[in-house]
Amino acid sequence: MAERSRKVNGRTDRTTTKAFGAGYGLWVGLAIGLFVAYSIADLISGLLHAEISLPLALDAPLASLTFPAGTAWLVGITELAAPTEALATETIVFLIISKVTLIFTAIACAVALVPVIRDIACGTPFTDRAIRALGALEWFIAGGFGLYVVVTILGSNLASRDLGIADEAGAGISSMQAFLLLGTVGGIELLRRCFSSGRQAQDDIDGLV
Amino acid sequence: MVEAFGSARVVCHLDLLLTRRGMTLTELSRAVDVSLANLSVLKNNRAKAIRYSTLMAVCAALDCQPGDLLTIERAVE
Repeated sequence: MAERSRKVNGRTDRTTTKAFGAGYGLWVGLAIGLFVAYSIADLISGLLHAEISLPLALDAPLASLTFPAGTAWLVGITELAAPTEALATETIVFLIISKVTLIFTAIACAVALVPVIRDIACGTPFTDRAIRALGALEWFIAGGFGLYVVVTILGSNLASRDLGIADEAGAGISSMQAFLLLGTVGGIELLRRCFSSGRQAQDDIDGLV
Repeated sequence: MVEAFGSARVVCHLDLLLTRRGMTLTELSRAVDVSLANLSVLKNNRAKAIRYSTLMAVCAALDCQPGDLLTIERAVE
């Protein structure tokens, strides 16, 4: 726990805060931590079994699934576990880079969120530190996921070439994911501007011009 | 300014400077990019603190020094 003091209406108000912001940061950290741990475990497990998972968009029905009631064809974006021996070295490199990029982006986002969550938990959300952290979070998401998208498109296209299904399969990134990325970055920018306005309003209330 | 230290208080002479320069508070607000409400708080001696950036912008717009804008008045004992 850390003891912080701040002046409220001329009185010094000492509050104790837990290291993870009264639990809020712990929940967010747990969610991101689980995602990172799962991604790392998935990558290592795949490599140990000499296979690597990659997203592909199946434009033509390549594989069928037989059910008691009939047969269904697999189309659209799906995740394949391809044997590494069937893929070229550069393909494997691109796919590993895409996975590592995702992991590091998640870690960077978690680190960027820490000051925001701490300040919210302390009851003083509109701090310069929190506003700067939201700006950094935007850049991490835009840059990290942007790089992930580029590398994944390259890797999955190379993989479809190596597997001989270049005409039937495309990169496993949908336009919906791109919209989701833009929406997330836009939402965080909106939140950052709200925090800036909140800071201004707080300063006005405090009599600072 | 409402913050008083013992018997002393900071007084803002913004209205006097505006009259001398022939400027309105609205024009000053646009020039220094500070809201009209905040400048009004400053003018009416209700501000508790002023940022250096605001002080420098107001002094630049009114072509004055901080000492022209703010003075300390001590109560006569």
